[in-house]
Amino acid sequence: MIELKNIHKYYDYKKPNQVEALKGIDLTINDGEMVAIMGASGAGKSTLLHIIGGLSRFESGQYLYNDKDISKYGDAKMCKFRNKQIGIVLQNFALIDEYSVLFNAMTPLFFAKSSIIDRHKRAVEALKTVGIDKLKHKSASSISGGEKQRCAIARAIVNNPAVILADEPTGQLDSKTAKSIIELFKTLNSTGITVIIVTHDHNVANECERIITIGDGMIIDNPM
Amino acid sequence: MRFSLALNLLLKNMLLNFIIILQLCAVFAYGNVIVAINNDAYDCYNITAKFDEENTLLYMPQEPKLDTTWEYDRHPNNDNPQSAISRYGDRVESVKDYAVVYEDYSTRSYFYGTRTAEALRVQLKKGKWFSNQKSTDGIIDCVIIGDTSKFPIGSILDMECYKENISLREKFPVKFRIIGSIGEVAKVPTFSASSSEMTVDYIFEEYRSQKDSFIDTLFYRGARYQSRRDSEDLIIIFTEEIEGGYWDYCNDNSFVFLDDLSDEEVKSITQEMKNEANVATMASARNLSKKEATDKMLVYAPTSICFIVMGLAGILCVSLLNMINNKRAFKAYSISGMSFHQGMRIIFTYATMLILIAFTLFALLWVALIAAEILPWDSMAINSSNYLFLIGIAVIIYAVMGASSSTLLKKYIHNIKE
Ligand SMILES: Nc1ncnc2c1ncn2[C@@H]1O[C@H](COP(=O)(O)OP(=O)(O)O)[C@@H](O)[C@H]1O
Ligand SMILES: [Mg+2]
Repeated sequence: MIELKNIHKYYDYKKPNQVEALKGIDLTINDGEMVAIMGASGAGKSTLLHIIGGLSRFESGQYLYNDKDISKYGDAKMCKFRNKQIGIVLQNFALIDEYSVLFNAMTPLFFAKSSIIDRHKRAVEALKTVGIDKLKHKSASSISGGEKQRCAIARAIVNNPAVILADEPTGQLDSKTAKSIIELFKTLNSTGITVIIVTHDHNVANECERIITIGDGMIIDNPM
Repeated sequence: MRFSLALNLLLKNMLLNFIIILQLCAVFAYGNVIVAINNDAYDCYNITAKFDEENTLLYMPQEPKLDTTWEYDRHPNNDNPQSAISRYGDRVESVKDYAVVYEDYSTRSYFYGTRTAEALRVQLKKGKWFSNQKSTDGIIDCVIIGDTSKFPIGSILDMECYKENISLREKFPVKFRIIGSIGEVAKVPTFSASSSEMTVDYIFEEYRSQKDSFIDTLFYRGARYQSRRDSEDLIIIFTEEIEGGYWDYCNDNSFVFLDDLSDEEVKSITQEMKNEANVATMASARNLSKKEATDKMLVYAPTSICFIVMGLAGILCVSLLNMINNKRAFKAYSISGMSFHQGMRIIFTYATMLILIAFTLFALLWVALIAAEILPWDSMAINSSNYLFLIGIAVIIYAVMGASSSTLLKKYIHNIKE
């Protein structure tokens, strides 16, 4: 379970150009939920997602993950947490173009305890789950947008995380491909993985169980 | 983890990495030549560092004639050298030499007094320099120039030593134990030359055990010995306790040790000796040597500094370019749970790979240059400072790559979005 309590996040903290990106966020997301986060550009959606994923820190408030206070974690422990618990999917895929689909899918395993054989086996499994295991030897630059996002999802699930965070995962895809990606998230969610999707697209959001709306760093709407 | 990801960085931008490797290689090679020239320039200065400079005199009653290497002009007031210097007793030590025959090999041996042997700091390739302790078994410890595969450390040589004038063929048996080797190229303190502008470099002569026929070039005072063989297998022996005397040799150029005397006494003895010989203090000879060496190195300084700075700047640029090129990789790793420290470890492993490849290439290049005799061998000396230089450059490269990469890596990790 993810619990955020009165989170305040500033960029360029205590500098003249300081921005308060999150202004006291209270949010609880239960295990196995599929949640959409919506809001205007600049509302603070990505910032929120990065905090949940342990990619960035915040200035005040509390973040409990399964009742553990994540904000007290040091750099190494935080990275371990992300590696083990969180899968991240971004709008621009964030793949390494020159490397193969297979290599891209296995990157989290380099930072977890796993052997070469184990890495290979689990990456192929993940690619099978997302349906692109036939492309494993192609380079990441040579496949289509939808396939890239599937590859990124394979990377997100390869280390069996409890939570997937997706920041506008369909932003660069046409509506048909977008739909199939959302179906994939739904399938993953049905296996018990918590899925949190930031999106502009109402069609995408409507596929989720709950839609949380953020405006100007605050939660505007959060139906419980 | 580290190794595979570092290897991936290496293989991803082959051209860029190749340029870095070439650059490193060039810095290694050029730097090593300069360090070797520097070593050579300061060699004699360093070997004589342990003398008590102010209180050691160089007493030089003879100067080589300009047109020969073994005949000398005597100082006009020094036609009876034995009495001239003998009043100072064991304060005076000259370098005595003997002719020695070993099986078919003929050899020169040099005999140093205990204080000279103690003060000289000749760098050995193997083994150790002899101490002041006399061996109990009557075997004389010695250090050789030459091939230790032929004459290994610890081996004992049964030799015959020529006394006095070699043409008389008066021999006596001597046993030598080899305890150290200077290698195959060496500066040997013979103190046979002198000059009114005395530098410590005059005290030494350079030998190569393979090439120079030192029997001809070194035998002084006119005595010449024809070896039955060519000189390639010759060894030079240093010892401190060979029996038998060459007393008429003690009027050769000598070290005079005055370290327990007052400044006044040193001054008056110096004055007295100046009447019958060229005299210099070890301090002035060393300073002159140092000045010559510094002047020589100053010639190389501008190009060296430019070259090394350019090389390092190049490495910095290419390393930054490489990081920018790998931006997406590091972002992907960061998403996957890589910490900053893990990222730096990957970068350092990658740097180590670059350095090792460059070093291997450099070693091959170096061997090739030696084989082709392109390097200026006559003015180079390889010693521990070369290894220090290589380690120093490696550390600087780590620092340059570490500093430039860490700033970018931090930025990438904290800014996943773009
Ligand atoms: N790295 C950053 N440095 C400074 N300000 C930032 C940075 N990232 C985001 N912001 C600011 O924080 C606010 C929220 O940004 P973000 O979370 O990216 O919004 P969203 O994802 O909802 O579009 C915006 O005002 C944005 O300008
Ligand atoms: Mg955003």
